[in-house]
Amino acid sequence: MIRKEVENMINNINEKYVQEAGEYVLNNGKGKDKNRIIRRTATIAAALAFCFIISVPALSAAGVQPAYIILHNTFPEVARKLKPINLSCEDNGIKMEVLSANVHDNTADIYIAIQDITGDRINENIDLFDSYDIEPSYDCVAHCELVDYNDTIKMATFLIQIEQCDNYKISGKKITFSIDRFLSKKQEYNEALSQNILKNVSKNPVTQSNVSVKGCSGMSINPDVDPLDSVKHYLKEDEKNSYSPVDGVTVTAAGFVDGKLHIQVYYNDVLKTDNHGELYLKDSNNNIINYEYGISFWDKEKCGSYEEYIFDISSETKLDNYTLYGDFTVCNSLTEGNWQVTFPIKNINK
Amino acid sequence: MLEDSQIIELFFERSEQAIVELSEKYGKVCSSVSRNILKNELDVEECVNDAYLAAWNTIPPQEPNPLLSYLCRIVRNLSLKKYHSNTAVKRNNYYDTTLDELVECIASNTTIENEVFAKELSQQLNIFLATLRQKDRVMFVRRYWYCDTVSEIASYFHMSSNAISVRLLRIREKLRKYLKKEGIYV
Repeated sequence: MIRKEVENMINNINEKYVQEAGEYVLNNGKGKDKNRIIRRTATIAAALAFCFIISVPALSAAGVQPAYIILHNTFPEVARKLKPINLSCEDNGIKMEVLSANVHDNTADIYIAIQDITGDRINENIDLFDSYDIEPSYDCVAHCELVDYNDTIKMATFLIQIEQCDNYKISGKKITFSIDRFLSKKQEYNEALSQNILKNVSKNPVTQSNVSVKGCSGMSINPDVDPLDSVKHYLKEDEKNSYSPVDGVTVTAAGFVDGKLHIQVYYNDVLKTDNHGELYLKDSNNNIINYEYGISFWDKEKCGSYEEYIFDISSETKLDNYTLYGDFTVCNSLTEGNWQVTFPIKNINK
Repeated sequence: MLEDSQIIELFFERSEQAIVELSEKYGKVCSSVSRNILKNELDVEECVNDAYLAAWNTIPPQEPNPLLSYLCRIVRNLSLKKYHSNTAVKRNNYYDTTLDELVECIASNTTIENEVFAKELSQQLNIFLATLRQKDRVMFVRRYWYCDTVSEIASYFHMSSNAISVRLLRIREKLRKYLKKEGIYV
């Protein structure tokens, strides 16, 4: 019954959101949009702007979802005209500032600095954890990347490159760049794992079926085969033989299930760390054997994630001839805050 | 490729070229929407062709704008109808899994006013979607309306699958809190 209600709920998603998501992919996720949608939005905005401007302060005072967000989603043209210019901001001891902007016809290169002014939370592998947002996005293509890090002053510099669609001039356009979290001090681990893992592979492991799948990956030999159809049983954590090669990652079980080799890894607290990775085997001739499927599922608290790597290797195979490798990225330094800068695109030099 | 308005014009002229152009422009998207629900290629082809026929029979007098969502909605509805009515159709674990991800966000309402509840739920979802950043909203709709895989969504946004899973979880959590605030989640 609940599933039917969910299905009806999804079926009635507003057409404009279905269209938005459809076009986003058709345009390769670059945020381009049809001219007529922009013009239609601007027309509606112009007609109703007066009414909305009057009601925005009242909405804000009443504690309703920040009026600017609703305004931005519904009448973006009006929202941009109302947004004050703010070249720098500070929160949680982290300062974000627009350093410079260089405009060329329909493109702009903008340099933004993020600096830790109270601590040591930023380093050369700072990762915005995809929390950044560039508005407006529907009529331009934007890209953000780390270009410099100064360890003396704990400052990372990002380059945002924006291209206005349809070759319109970009100068004078107002942009808002915001982030709400970042990771730093990531560690990469790529080494052979303990041989005990393969030595202790169980031929009759304890398994489970009722897991909360969150995704699957891998190179299935048959692209028409849905991994979720093929894999019915997953390993249960084997505490006695667990092994942690690096903080945040634990090999939790290994065994033959339904004729294939399963090795399970647990990634700690993925919501705050982006801990992830993969396994592979090497045989005695140094050939790499990749897993056929990797299926990930949540732990009970939905904080950590198990990933079960399934190799097309049967229980008859002598595992002594193989070495198991892990390729992991871990991080335990998440900084959260509210950073937002708004500025008109024109040549700025500091 | 023709603009949507030009394709609509062909429909109004009752030119069969309209279907050819429609198929060229949106055929892949339509097939993808159907395939994510039905796993059988023959069924997918049938639904997509039925959708073209439905477009032919409704345009005119309909003049859908935008055309993409109009067509995708027809395909999705036809695919769901086939999925639910044909017991011979193999259960699609994948489609059921995407619905299950959202089941936790709502609770079963056992009152007699289920129709009212369903309408309110849809309204609240659309209001919720309006509050999301565009990226998050597109991710949500691609996952639960278009039924794209996490890997596919990751490729659209140039992100890792793990990052997408985490992001979707956060959005669902936000939805759950929002519905709770509106008195829909128990």
